[in-house]
Amino acid sequence: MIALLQHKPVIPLAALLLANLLLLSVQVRNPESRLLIRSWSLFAFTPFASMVHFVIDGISGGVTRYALLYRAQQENAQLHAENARLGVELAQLRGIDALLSNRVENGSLQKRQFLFDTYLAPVIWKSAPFYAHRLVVNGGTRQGMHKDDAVIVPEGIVGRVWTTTPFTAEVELITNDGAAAGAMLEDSRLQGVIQGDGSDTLRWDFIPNYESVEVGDIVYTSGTDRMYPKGYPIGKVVQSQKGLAVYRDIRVKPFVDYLRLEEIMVVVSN
Amino acid sequence: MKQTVRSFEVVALLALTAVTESLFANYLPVALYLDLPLIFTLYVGWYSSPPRGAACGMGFGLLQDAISGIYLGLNGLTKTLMGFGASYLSKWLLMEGLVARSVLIGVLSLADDLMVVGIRALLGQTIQLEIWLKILFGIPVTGVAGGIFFFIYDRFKFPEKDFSQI
Repeated sequence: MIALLQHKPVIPLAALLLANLLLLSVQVRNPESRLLIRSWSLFAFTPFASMVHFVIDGISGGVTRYALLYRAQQENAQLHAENARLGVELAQLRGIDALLSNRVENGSLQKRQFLFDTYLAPVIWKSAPFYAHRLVVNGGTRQGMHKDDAVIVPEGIVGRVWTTTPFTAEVELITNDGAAAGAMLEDSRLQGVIQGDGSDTLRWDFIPNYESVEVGDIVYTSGTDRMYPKGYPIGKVVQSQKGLAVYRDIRVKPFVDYLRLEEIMVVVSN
Repeated sequence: MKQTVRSFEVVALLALTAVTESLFANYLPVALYLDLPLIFTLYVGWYSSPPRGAACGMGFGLLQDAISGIYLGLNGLTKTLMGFGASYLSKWLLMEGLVARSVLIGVLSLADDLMVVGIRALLGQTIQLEIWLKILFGIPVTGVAGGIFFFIYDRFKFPEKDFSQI
């Protein structure tokens, strides 16, 4: 057998290439199988990422906590200011909430879609942006995360949970090729579908040519995808022109800088 | 001394790939222009039989796919071919010079990236501008880094010199 392999090395090559092709075909043709394989690979390789994250965080945390302790007072002052600002914003939101509850007949139903719990998870690794727009976070099913849970940060939406293991989860960013979310305009409530294509901006589809969408308009989630909470910011329109067919060509620049994400929030119940 | 790469070295290089790629991905994304799994694939393939080079290349490729978050088997397929090809190239080419090796690794990096782009296009994925930038910057970066890696690792592995005749 070994002699055969040495004299005819093309046979093992063909076998290995076939194995790779089978692996690819399973993932491409069957989304459910893809999920399983990604979970296994995630389970096998995340210990390395967790280890690197633990070591780097330990070193930088040690330096920050002990060697650079003199910055703590300054940070404390900043946090106080931030806390005060957030308190004001919370009060404003409560006021709006109360207004909505009074004006809308079914107020409790309206309110429910704005109420959700989140789990804060640190990012432990990111895909190279030229390959895929994904990242892995330190939190999984043990923390209540599930596939297709929305992932957000205070600035806007990040994406959705793609695959989970008990302790880690892979997140597909909204900018990834094929990712999508229901979106609407702030003022006119015009609705369409926002889609990623692998670039750093998003495509807003299904907006008819006769509708008015201006550069600078803010786009929010519409909640129609039943994944992202309604009314959460997505980004700002940076290009809007009439398309060749029925729909406008609109590009949206997300508010979130995905390259600099260090922590994300997973919406664990809605 | 017979020039070969032992199994424990392959395992160590796989572990090093996992750690460095995780480190680069999260803390130094610009370093991802360097195709470290390709360099290790070519090194192992260079000093191995074609079937072993192909098998190790597949291992490095699958690891890269898992870390990059793309279809498993994409880099696995191309690096299988690279490991296999490197083994044959070592029989046909005499590449002792640093520059010659760097150029060869740069060319193979281009071939590997073009295969990945081709397969992604066949699978119906969007080919973004960033991929072409990665290829453009990746050729010299991977070529030079690969040449240096081959040079240093060779000196580390095969340091024996007979000075008794001098």
